[in-house]
Amino acid sequence: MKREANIPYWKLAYLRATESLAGKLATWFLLFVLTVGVLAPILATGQPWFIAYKGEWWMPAFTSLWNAERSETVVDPQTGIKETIQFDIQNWRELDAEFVWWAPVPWSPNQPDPYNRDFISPGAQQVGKLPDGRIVPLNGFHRHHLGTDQLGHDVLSRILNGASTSMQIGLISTLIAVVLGLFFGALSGYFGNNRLKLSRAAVWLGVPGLFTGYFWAFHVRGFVLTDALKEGFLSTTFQVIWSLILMFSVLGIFLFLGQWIGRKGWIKGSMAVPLDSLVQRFSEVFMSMPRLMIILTLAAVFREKSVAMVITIIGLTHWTSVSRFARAEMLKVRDLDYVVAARTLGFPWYRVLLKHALPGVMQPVLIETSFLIAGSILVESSLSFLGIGVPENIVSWGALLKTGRLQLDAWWLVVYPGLMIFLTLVSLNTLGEVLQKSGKRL
Amino acid sequence: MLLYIIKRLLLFVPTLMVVSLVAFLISIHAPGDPTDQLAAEQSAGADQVAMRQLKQEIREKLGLNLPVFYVSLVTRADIDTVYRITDADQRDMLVRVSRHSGQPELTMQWFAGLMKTDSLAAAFDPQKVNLSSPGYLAQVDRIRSLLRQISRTSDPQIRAARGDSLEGLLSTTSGMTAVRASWEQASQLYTRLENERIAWKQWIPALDFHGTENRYHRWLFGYGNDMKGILRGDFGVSYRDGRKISDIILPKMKWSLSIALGSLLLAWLISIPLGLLAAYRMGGWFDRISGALVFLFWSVPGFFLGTLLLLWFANPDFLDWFPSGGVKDPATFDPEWPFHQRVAHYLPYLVLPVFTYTLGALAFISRQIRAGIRKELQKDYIRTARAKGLSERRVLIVHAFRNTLIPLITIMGQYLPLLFAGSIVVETIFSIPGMGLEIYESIIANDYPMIVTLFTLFGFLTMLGFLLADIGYALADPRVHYSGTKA
Repeated sequence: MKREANIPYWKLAYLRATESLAGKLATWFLLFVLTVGVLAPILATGQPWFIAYKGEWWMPAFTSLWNAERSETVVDPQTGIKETIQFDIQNWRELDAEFVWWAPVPWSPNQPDPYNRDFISPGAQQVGKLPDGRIVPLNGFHRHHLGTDQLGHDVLSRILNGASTSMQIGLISTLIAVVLGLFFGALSGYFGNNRLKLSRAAVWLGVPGLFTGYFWAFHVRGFVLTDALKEGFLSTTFQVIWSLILMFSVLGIFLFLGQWIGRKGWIKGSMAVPLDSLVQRFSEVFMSMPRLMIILTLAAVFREKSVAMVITIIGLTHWTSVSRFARAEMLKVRDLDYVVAARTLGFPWYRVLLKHALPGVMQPVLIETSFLIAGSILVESSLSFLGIGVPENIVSWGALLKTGRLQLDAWWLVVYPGLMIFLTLVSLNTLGEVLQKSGKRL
Repeated sequence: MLLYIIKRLLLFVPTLMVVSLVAFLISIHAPGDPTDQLAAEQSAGADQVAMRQLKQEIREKLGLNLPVFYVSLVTRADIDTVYRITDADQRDMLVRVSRHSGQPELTMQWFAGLMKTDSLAAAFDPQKVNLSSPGYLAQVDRIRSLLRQISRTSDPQIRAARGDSLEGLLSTTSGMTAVRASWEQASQLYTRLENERIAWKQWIPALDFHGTENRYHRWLFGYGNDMKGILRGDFGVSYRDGRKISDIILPKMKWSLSIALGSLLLAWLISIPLGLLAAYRMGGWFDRISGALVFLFWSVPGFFLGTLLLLWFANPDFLDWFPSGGVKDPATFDPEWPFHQRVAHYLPYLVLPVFTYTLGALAFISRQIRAGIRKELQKDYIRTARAKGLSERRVLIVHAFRNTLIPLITIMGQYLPLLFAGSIVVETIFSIPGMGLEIYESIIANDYPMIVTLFTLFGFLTMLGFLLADIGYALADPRVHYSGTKA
């Protein structure tokens, strides 16, 4: 596919998005949040970037990315006393180091500061302990610029690390929703109720094929899947993809057998599969259930909370809107001249669908993803606000706001995380609007 | 038209069945034991053995030892009576063991042995063997807890490790010979399970039919004299306090309905003139400012706005204008008051939640109205109307607005379930005893008769909303008619 002047797609989208001032601000803010989200573990951490201590040089902030529990032993050259430093629990501020280069935000999201607990406000007197044991007021760089919570966690550090949670959940769950929605929506729109013709034998074998595939992939492997959910996102993805491959291969074998038998002439004739009606009924059931209620129930059902679980739940409940949208677009595209021409030329259906029709559907759907990401982030933060979302040890904006709701004196726990959520949502929605307006030219 | 409505109403039935079944299945896999709370209420200070007995009775009364549906999809390696095990962890463990070994009967025998050992250990009285030193008691407790863990862990390695330490403990603890003998029998069976695996069995599907003795059937048609079944208007009892669900829901619905209705009415009353005014001078300052504001409101999460309002207007340190939660002051409220006095008492409590709710709805509705009018104003008939010399006001209100009504009707349909469901977020923030808070609390407490009822109820309302929207379409737009269309 050649586009004018061969500009890559993402670059074109960036150019369109930054045409107006609002679009510029939104795009830049989102890029900022994304960067912060990716870099948060080294941007906001209590472990120094470089430290020189008794003749040794370390980079704790970086090395703990892959070796969190590293520990080193140093010997004092004068007294000969041995000292073991466990990197993840060491209070680096209390080390009498020769040279320290702190991270830009020198506090970890999960390590409380014992000298500033019980909701210290951003402007209040904050104290810290020097290596020689003196307690002094904190000034400048080392202050908790956005205050602390009850246990003494730095709010700024939590907000920066929360960006990572929000972005992860927003992007990956939307990816799931878009893939599922495009799959079902595009297929049902393209084939409608009477364009998918299979031999009669294939249809009759397809039903048990689908059943067997489902049974092996999701019923027998059910425990593998639930265990993977507890383990984390990567293993969940791996196992789900594995299950899907299994299911579709079984279905494929059955269909192939059916076509083969049908060709042999034992059971002659072909029939149409009412794909559209099937998908419509299926998504109707999804849509008849109140979305937040399904999400809440599912979130409560899973015993072990995890980010992977929240991502999966949101992805699985958001696909219907993509599917409806993709179907509507496909209904328009499938009868456009160039698609009809491709069909008339005798290309196989998958080629017409993937190479000709789908690109026409993709663009409006991709513009829509901006709103979907906003929706996912909103759901995630609402869940965390209600205390059902991500687990306690993972920082998220919604969970921060929840602590603020319970302690209204600590306004900084309400205002700052709330503003971050608000600004992210506004930016995503603005981006969606801007792209939608220039959509015809994209 | 009537035929169409009847057809649509008939389509409700299968969808509702699926929705309620899905809710059923989800809530049955919920963690925790629903009988804990009920048993705790009924038996203050009963000992462990009596408590177990009581829980078992409650389970039977509630039908928790029955299969979920008329039929279940199982593998050949599954135990066909596993639904009788009411503890979710034990059930999970059993299904895993029997699938892995492919020997359901043997698994069940092993489990029976394990349970026998467990009850022997629970009934074991150290006083009888005249040993009650703290060390000895701790050892007995450790044995009990190990047995509990073995019957509940899903990890075979943990199970083996716990088994080994139990073995060791039992051999050093004097006086527990009966427990030890029973344990040895059980562990022999477990060794057989490991050695005589039949791996292929779990790959063969099977259907188990349970007849009408299942929970779904009872839920639909009732059972005995206490339960009438949902078809006769009985939604069952809540697991939290044993009260009838319909008794709990109705007063709560009153709150959600009044807040939602009030807020929606306000939102409509504001957004219609707002949309018309903006369209009157499209691109003018009013249009741009109102458009930007509506866009910002649309992006504010409800929980952030609600918490901010609490922070500003219900904060003793800042502006203490409104109470911070609930709907009444129990110290002064008197249910005997006349209606107007009660309403006057509620009002200050409702200002903040109604404001939060209204702003959210307002932003949504306004955006739809604006987009709708914009689209209509570009059409040919508007140009004709203008060319005829009609005043801009008449063009807007009589011509364009009538046609923007159609998408608005769909929105009204979508709002129908929300009217009754309230808003989970708003009601949780302001502690309003409405449906939203009820949904939240029933989910937190695994009160699944309530969850299933709410799911089905809102599923029904959602579909009713869609239907009403379609009927509204036909009324608002003479071109739309359903009688001729083929279904």
